[in-house]
Amino acid sequence: MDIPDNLIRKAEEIFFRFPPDRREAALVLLMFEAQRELGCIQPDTERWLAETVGVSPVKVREVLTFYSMFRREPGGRWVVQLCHNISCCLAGAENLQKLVEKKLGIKNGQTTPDGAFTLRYVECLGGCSWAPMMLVNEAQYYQLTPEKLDRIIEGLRSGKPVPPDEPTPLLGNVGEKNIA
Amino acid sequence: MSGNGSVRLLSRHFGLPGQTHIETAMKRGAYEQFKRALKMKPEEVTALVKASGLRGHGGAGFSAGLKWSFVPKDVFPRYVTVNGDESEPGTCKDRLIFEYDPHLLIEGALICAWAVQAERVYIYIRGEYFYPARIMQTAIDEARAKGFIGDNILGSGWSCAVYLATGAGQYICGEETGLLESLEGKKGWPRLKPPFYPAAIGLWGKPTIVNNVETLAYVPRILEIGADKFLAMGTPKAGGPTLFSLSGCVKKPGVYELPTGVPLKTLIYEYGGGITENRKLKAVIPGGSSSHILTAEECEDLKLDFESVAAAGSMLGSAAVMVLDETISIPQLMVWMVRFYAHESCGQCTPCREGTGWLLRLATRIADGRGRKRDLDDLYELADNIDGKTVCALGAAVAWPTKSYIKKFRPEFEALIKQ
Amino acid sequence: MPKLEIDGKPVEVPAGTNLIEAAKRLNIEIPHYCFHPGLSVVGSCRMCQVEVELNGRKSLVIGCNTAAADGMKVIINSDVVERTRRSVLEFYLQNHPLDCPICDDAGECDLQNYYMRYGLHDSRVELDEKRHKHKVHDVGPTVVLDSERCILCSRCARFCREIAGVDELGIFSHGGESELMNVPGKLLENDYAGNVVDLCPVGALTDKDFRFKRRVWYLQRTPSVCMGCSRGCNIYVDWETERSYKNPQRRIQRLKPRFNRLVNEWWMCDRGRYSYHAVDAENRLRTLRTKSDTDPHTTLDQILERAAAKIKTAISKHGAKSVAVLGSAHSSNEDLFLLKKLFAEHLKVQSMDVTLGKEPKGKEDEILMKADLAPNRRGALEIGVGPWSDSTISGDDILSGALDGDYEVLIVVGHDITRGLSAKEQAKLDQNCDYILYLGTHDNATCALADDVISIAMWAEREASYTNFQGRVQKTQQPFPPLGEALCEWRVWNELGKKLGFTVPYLNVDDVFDAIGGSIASFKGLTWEGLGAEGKMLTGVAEPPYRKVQSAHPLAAY
Repeated sequence: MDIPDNLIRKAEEIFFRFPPDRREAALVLLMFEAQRELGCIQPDTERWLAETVGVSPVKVREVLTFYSMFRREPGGRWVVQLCHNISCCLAGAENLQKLVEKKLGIKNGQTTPDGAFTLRYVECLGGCSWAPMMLVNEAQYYQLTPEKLDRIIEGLRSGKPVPPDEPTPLLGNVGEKNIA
Repeated sequence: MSGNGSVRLLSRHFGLPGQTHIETAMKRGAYEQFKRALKMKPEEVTALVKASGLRGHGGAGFSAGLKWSFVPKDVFPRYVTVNGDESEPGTCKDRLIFEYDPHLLIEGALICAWAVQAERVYIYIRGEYFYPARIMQTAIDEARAKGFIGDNILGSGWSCAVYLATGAGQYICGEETGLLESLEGKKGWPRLKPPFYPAAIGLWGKPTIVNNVETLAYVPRILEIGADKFLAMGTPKAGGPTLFSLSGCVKKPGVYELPTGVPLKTLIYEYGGGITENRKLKAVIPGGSSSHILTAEECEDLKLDFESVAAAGSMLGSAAVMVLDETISIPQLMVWMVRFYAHESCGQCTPCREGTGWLLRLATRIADGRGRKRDLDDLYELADNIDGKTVCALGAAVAWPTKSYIKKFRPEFEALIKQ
Repeated sequence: MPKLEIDGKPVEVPAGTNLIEAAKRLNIEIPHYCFHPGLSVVGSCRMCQVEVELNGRKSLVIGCNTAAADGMKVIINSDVVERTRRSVLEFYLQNHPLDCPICDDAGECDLQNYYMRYGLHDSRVELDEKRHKHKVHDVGPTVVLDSERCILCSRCARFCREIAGVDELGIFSHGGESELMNVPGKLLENDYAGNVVDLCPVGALTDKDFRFKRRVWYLQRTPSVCMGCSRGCNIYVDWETERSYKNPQRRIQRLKPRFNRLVNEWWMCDRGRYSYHAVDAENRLRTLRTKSDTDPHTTLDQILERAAAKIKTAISKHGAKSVAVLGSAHSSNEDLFLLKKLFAEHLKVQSMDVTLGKEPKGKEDEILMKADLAPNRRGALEIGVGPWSDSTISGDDILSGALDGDYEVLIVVGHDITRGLSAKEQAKLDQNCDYILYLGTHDNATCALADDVISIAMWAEREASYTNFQGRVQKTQQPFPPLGEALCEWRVWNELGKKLGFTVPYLNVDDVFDAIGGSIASFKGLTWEGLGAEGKMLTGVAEPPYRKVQSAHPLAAY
């Protein structure tokens, strides 16, 4: 299969992070980069990973099916990952779920017919104090209100995406000016 | 200590302009403590950290210095892995360290590596932390360019490499041996302990220190202010401050760095601004979703340190405090909680693999109002059958909340069971 | 050596022994699934949990990963342990399909067995929600996988990696959706695949060869030795002859490996495992035959009369060099001993060997398989029937000599000598040899060529001893009598000897074996009884050092 040069370069860099006699350790990272580059991990990519890393196809599939971030089928252009864990639910995530399902016309795990959006409800994303939180592909968005969620989706549709909340806002006393 | 009783030791430079860039960070003191540590003997550094009373902030609360001293004398090489898998529901503080003071973390990890004479440091970040990972990678590259990472660091004769590694979306990779399995390129199936205690047999079978991000981020501060001062910022058994992740039904959720042992009510009402819309406090989950729930009465005089929370029948864990007010349905909370563990079970051992799904079915049935008469007792008993009978602590992590929710809020469940 | 107490009974064990093994010494069972003494410890099934009291502290531990310690008290029947076991069983049974009526493993299934012994609890299984996985999945040429039944003990995956050295089975996905499977395009097809069926505690992995053939509680089990190659793995023959309404000719239902620490440990290869079909094949020789256009039937006495007459004539006219014997390395020590005594010692026949160059050779590896597909070539060596015997004439010499007309009488045991011979050459053989006597087990072209054919019993129909390539003498036990008129090879020589003036007082196989000890130095001191269940080394031959039976390049368990 045709592996993008980008990925081959990335692979070399990843192998460098591990001792030369522990090449197989690169599997999780390389699969992660391969998915970022190719969108998902399909059988020919599995074969490439097995050959490149030097592990059996069984190992590759074990890793592929174990970690929840890996996709075996292509997703939509934007994968909306909405947290449905405790703190986000306490902050109203279930209401947001209803809204986003209505807005996109799909349910959890589905992709819109035009291939634009995939919706996934995911577990805690580590944004509990800024709940509700979601990831859209690699972009983090916090403190979602129905209005903000709507704005983000419209922004993607219109080609003028809402910038992600990077860095995470400093709520709490950690952002205060007075220092110990 | 600042005027309003908060202690901004670790988070001192959060939000200051340019703190993620090494030049600016160094102007504010970054890597100074590392330079000092390199002039100390490794054992001295370990002794200092031990004396400081620093406890692990990832959930287990184990003494950091004590863990470092477990490394067997004649076994090489050694490794340090920074546990940045932050996935315990309610916890959101390590993220800020990655995003706002990456060099503090690198410095802490390097000091730890010096203390245990490790030749490699792996900073393991959960896969979903894309932005923090980018910040960390840049910071590592900067530190290498400055000579703090690499061969013969600052002429010490000691060499150490630092690399970033990522997870791919499984909570169990936050379990120390699950993390090592993931780092070795495999599924994150935790290992049997004994014999696989990482300090003795860890990454690729070699002694490995696995410490939480926050824990290591405190290390440069310990060198800066000394063990005694650090200890005094906490309790005699748990030195230093703690980053509390406050979330749920409070007006001012956020991350609060406060002395370990701060009263829970202070955190909720003084810092957190009190309950949203001034409602009544119903319950608190003090240490991430894996901890036992505490009723409002139990929270009355509770201090947030490991010993006090344990004495109250729960655990401080990752100091993720989730506040629940009177509008929250505990049966519904049970579903949100159990659903997490059912999804995150790695599947290696039977009670967790088969039990978490079963618990979820029962909890969902009850919360939906379709609960059968015996479902509640079954739910409790099944949780008890998982507790303590698994390879890793995930079994306990689902069992403790399940049992405590039922024990302390039973009437709420029973009200939903009509048959 | 730590001294501890299990269920109140004292026992002393070597340091490092885990509690399951320690309890075994007292014949106490600690139920378990994932633990196997030949594989790494993973501690994932949680079935072997027991209470342990040491230094005043009581704790619940897994027996497989806890080393016996001095002063330890192991409690296996307390309320806590019983409740824990029951709870683990319940977790397994919750999602386990109700397949017992159609599952091969019923009767030897450890879910069934442990439930009956340690469970007996009421079911809380919710029949409205069933978890679906692959059923009747063709995971490889010899094994069928039903991943719904799988209890994820990982024994099979670990076996393939640690023992066979291949990665063919994995556990995919996570949590309750975990499933044991192969990957598309890569089957479970290593040479030792059949062992996973032995290892599987339940009916997730079943043997295609045995599937639906018999219920296991009808099987009778006889210890024996595999005849597939010169390794001589210890086995059990599981057989059943009464239910003749199903495959009436199939007596052996399956072979299973039998533990022998110094030969095959717990394993056997697939080549050997499925070699039993020959015993009940359609073309087994059941009757004695003679070459005749009108009536091939004959009796043993008639054949032996003819044979003895031919031999006597040939020797008196042309000397002993006109008689040749092509024996078989598949024959037992007893067969070979009498063969030698009769022909080499008594009749002074020099042309005698057991080896033909064109004998099929098999695959050899460092695990168990040997290239020599005959079980007793070493026995032939020790007893003195070629290929390095007193006679310098090899089996190939004998065959080419027979073609050239060097021999009047040719006696062949086992070998199908027509293989590789053209029709013209076969005719030449027929013409040049005045008399060919064939002792065989299966109908083949040599039977058609021979003047007389005696059907002999196969290994699974007799008690016999065989010497493996390392010099270990092992014996089979007899599950059932030979088919039809077949009889043991040594008895043929015994009877023939009587007609040639050579009498021996042997009544049973152990008489013959003890006689071997009397005249062959390397068998001195060995007795039939003394061979026991695990065999004995030849006198003067050292026991091979213990080696773990595994691939030279094992893979990690996970």
